[in-house]
Amino acid sequence: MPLNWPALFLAVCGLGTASGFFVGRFRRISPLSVACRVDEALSLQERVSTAWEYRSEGRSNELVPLLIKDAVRCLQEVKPSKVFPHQWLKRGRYVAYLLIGIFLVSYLFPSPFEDAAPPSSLREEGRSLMRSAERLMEKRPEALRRASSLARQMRQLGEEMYQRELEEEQALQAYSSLESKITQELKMTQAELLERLKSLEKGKWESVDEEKLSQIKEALQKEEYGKAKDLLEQMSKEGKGKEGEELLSYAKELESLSKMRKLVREGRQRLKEGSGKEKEEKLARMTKSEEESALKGDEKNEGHSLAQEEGFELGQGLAEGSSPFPGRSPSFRVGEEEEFEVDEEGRLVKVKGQLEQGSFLMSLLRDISRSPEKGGSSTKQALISYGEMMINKLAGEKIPLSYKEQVKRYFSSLEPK
Amino acid sequence: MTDLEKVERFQEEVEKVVSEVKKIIVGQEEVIEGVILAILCNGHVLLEGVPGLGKTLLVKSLGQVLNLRYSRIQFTPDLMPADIVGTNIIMQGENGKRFFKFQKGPIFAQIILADEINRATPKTQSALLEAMQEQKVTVAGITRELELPFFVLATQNPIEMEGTYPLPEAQVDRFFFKLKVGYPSPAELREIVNRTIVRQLPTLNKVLDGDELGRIQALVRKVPVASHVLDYATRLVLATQPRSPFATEKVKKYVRYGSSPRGAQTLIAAAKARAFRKGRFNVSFTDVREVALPSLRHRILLNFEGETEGVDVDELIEDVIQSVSER
Repeated sequence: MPLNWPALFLAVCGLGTASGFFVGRFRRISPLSVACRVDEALSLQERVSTAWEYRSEGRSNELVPLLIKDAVRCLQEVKPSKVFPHQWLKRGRYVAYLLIGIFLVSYLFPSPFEDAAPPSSLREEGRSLMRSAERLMEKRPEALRRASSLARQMRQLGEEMYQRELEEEQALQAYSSLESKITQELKMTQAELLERLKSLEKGKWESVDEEKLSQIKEALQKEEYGKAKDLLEQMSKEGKGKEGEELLSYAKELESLSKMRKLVREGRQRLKEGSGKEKEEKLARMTKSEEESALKGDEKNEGHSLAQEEGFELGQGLAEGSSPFPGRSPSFRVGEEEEFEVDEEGRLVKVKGQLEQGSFLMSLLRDISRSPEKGGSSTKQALISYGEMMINKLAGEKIPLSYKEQVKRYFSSLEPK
Repeated sequence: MTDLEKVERFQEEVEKVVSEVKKIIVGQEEVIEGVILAILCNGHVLLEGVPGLGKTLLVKSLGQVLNLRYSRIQFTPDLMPADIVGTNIIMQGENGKRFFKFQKGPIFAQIILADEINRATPKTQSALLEAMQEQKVTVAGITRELELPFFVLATQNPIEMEGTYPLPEAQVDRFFFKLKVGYPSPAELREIVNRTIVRQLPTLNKVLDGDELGRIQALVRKVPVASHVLDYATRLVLATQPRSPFATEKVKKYVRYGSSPRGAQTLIAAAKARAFRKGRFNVSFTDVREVALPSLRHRILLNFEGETEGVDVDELIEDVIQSVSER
């Protein structure tokens, strides 16, 4: 139905009530008319109306009191429903006409509410998202900083959808944005955890089960966060103290973020299936492209390969100018300048602004790390904090979502070994 | 005695009158009821019907039951007005002196049976005019009051036109009701034969005297009428007038003159009497409708077209009743 039925129904009801009040206020039936109606309905032979008239006009003779008594006697047995019977059939006919009229109007004229009101599926989706986020917030302690923050965002998005503050397209975009954020946080947490694990290898713990450690790393690479958590739990139980608990909290956060991403992804999918619009499909294609590029982390740098220079073994650093992956087209030009690069399948992989920013920051940090300074640990600390600041700064800027992750990883990789 | 008891007693007495009359008259209930209503309203009645239907017997019976002075005038073409109202005759006293003495005519009674009224000449018929309207008689410049209550119950034969003088409109209008006396049904006819031929006619009791009847008439006049019922009666009467905006198509086509205001007065008075007879204390629309025919039928004068097409005035009135709404 193209018309907003509840709104129309309320409008008709309101109009009817107002008309009723208006008519009731200005077209009052006189008591004599009511008396006539009673006489007519009950075949009282004008007893009541005559008695009322004589009584109200003060006319009297020896028969008038008898008439009034007679009228009162007749009225004692009166049932209002008999005098004013429900005329359902008569009135119902007009109601039927009205409904048919509304039905026809709703088909002939487009509804003014049609665009404004989101479909109920969106509302349902919003409620579902809101509930899921609330459950996550209940389960996850505040210690899981990233997961908690994202759960709050997720709840807010759900609330906006539920309260119809978003249109379907906006909701889809918000879903994509949130998913990217979660992916980004996920990768960052993963990177941090891997760093911690690397430090374990270097002998912070007295006895490290090398096999278990490699299993954890493998699980993380495969995004099997549950497995990684279980392994870390085992390690923690084996008496690794505070360090073990911290590692476990990383694993828990990863698991939470993974669940959240799954939830958001599923929600977006449902919404897309519900709408079935071409526009959404296009958006989905774009999002998928961004997401894949973010996950693969194939990024080119104009002249540096941090992985090669620093021996960054995770392979998640910024790539060399010529693509390290086979089959990649090196660049794509629009006009005079190289604006962005796409791969063979037409997916966006690089934007000029990002690359410039990345190279500048990287050279700056490299210079700082090479500068002679006493107490190497403080320099390292300074670099880490600077990297975090930059990451936070970049997160607030308008950068394509997939590249934020790249940039963050880049700064993370700057942390000295 | 409370008002209610008084009213109930009056109603019982009138009912007794009707019962007594019905001892003699078989059937003709509408006619009996019409006559009773007219008497309650102090009105005169014109009974129209073929000979032998009991018109005269009805009036005679009423005269006996009501304990009123009754007289009968048999109208004939040679009947003179003086034969009705009376005349001054020369009398000689004991001392040999002559003087005029008024000899009262049969009109000086309380119930007058004017039998076959249309057989008398218009001059004689009009002798009844003053008596019927004013309840007084003027002879040789001297006006004499008639004793109340005073009723003229006239009969006329509608089929014998030879040697008859249709009543002038002015005189017809003075009759409260015009009642049509119809033929009895087979059962009624059998009963008439039984009562009159096989058995002895029953003796009638005197139920009501003049004073009592006067009190009942006064009470009937007090029966309340609502304004909307009065309006309805007015509209009914106006609808019989061809130039009135309420007139029906038939009235416009066939009627020359409609009912006079006296028709409206009759209608309401008769409706009051009917309400009283029905044991109610107010006049209803039904009362007005029920008395419309006897009240209006003699007050409507057909035009040439109506006469030639043989339009029945009763049908015209029925049409008017159908077309005039109650509100």
